[in-house]
Amino acid sequence: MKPRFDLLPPLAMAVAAVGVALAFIAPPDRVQGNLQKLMYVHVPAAWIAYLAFVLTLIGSIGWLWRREPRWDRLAAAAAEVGVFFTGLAIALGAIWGKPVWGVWWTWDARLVTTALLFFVYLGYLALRRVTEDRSDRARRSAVFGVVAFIQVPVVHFSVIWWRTLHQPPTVLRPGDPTIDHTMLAVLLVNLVGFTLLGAWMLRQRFRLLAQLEDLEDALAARDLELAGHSIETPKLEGRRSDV
Amino acid sequence: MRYRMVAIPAIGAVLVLAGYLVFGNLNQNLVYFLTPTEAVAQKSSEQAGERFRLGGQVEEGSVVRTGAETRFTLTDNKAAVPVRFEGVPPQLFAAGIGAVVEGAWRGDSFYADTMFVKHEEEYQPPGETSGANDKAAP
Amino acid sequence: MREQWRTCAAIAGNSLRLERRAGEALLVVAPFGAVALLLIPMAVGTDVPLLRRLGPGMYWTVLLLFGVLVILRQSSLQSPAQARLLALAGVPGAIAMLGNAVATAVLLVAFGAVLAPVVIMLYDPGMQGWPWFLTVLPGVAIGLALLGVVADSLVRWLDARSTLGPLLIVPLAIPLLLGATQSWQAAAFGASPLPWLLLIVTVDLILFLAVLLAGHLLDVVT
Repeated sequence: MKPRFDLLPPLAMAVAAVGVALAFIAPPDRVQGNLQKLMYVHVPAAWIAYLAFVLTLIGSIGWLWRREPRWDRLAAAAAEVGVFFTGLAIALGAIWGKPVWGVWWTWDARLVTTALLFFVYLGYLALRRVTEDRSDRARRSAVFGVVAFIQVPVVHFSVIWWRTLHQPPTVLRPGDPTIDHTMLAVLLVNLVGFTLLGAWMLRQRFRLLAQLEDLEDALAARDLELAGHSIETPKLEGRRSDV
Repeated sequence: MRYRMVAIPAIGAVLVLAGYLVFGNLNQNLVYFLTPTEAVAQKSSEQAGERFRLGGQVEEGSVVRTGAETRFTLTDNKAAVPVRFEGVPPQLFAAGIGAVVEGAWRGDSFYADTMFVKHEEEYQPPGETSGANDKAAP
Repeated sequence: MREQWRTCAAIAGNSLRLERRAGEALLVVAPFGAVALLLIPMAVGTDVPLLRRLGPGMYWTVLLLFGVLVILRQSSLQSPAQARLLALAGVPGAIAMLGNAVATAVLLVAFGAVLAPVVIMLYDPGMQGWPWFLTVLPGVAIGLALLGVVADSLVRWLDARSTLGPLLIVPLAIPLLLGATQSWQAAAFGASPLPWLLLIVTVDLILFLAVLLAGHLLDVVT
């Protein structure tokens, strides 16, 4: 379709590959040993997930503001990417947590909020799936996207009051990060790699959604054409294919 | 409907309440685990067998493993509580590390059946020691 | 302004009148919740100290999960034609939602009041700080009701609303559940439950704003 060379996929794969290779070369942690290397995948996955949910919020607000379908597509694509990476982050975190903490799961604010995001956006995707009309779907999911996002910090805050066992943020903390500089560099490479991968996935989903809508339009137009202008296609009650 | 007449006071109230909750130091008495000092202080008033969580530093040289039981002392440098933990401790469990155990007083010992290890937030390659860890192990 | 509140009260009254005739919330959902409370000890064991510890948590969990049935039952009462009539009569969406929320909150308080003796009888939880319960229960009920009408407006007239509604409501109700259970625990350990009560009030206010927002944005005759 486009003859121009697409830079994003090879770049994303190259950086991710370098990141994984560096993760194997990087020195093991003094206390946790090689287990700590899960960090190079776990942290970027969580980061992409949060980023994607912020994009969903932006898409939702954008749609409510401009009412243009591309904002809705952005919100939907970002929610899909976010749910995937949240699931990945939770699974990797559990695999990391079992040998290190002795538990698969701990009731820490960050963990609970991440799990909550997973379920909230599964609900978001389910809501999209069961709504057929396109603008109705966009409106409902945009409102839910905004309301859910308002509630997430409240949940996080309420869980923080439980006093936490999870380590405090290592990098996103004022002052000098308490992580070895080689490790930090490897982590940063992995963050960039994952961000590129996430952007690639997001773009693919975004385009696919646009193509799906075109396909729906084309099918609807073809149906009308076949039946002629004087006859309308039969409609099931309660289903609207005309909007 | 004038939403603003209702919405603006409500937003204001939310901001005031949220600020008060976050910065009002209300969370000081929301205890998720007791420190050894608090646990010893509460011991007399507590009913026997009341479960709670106890958190502190595992004292150097206090860890004794006997079969299914691990004995050690949790301390916060002011008070120390002898703990008997039944079960397999997590891999990282060692003297000098922070741990939270769940259980109840039985006599002068704390009988625990669940343990969490609070691992340090520093990631360091072997051989190097960071200042924070030196302080944690006096 | 007063006009609006009168409309809101009328919608709430109508909803409650329908409930009095059908009796679905209190005669069907409440016994269902009580059965759940009866089943839990059979699943986890009938150890008295254990049940004493579980009691309050189970009470609030059942109230939350089964309260969702009360919340969504409310919405299925209103047909599309009724909603259209309300909209044509100039009733703003947010007012109609608030009216329904008031009715749901009243029903949830009644539901909670019915469950409370059951949990006390079966689990024998500590009763320290019970006066706080009298403020926590309405706070939680209002929060759940407001969250419920927002979720309900999102799934209205969808085929999957009875399954999708709970998925949208329950994760967002975590602060209410934590506020309720932790205030009980705080009271049991002799601490003040006031911070948790303030948390519930804050959540209620935020959800009130969410109702205004959703009412404003979804206020379209479809």
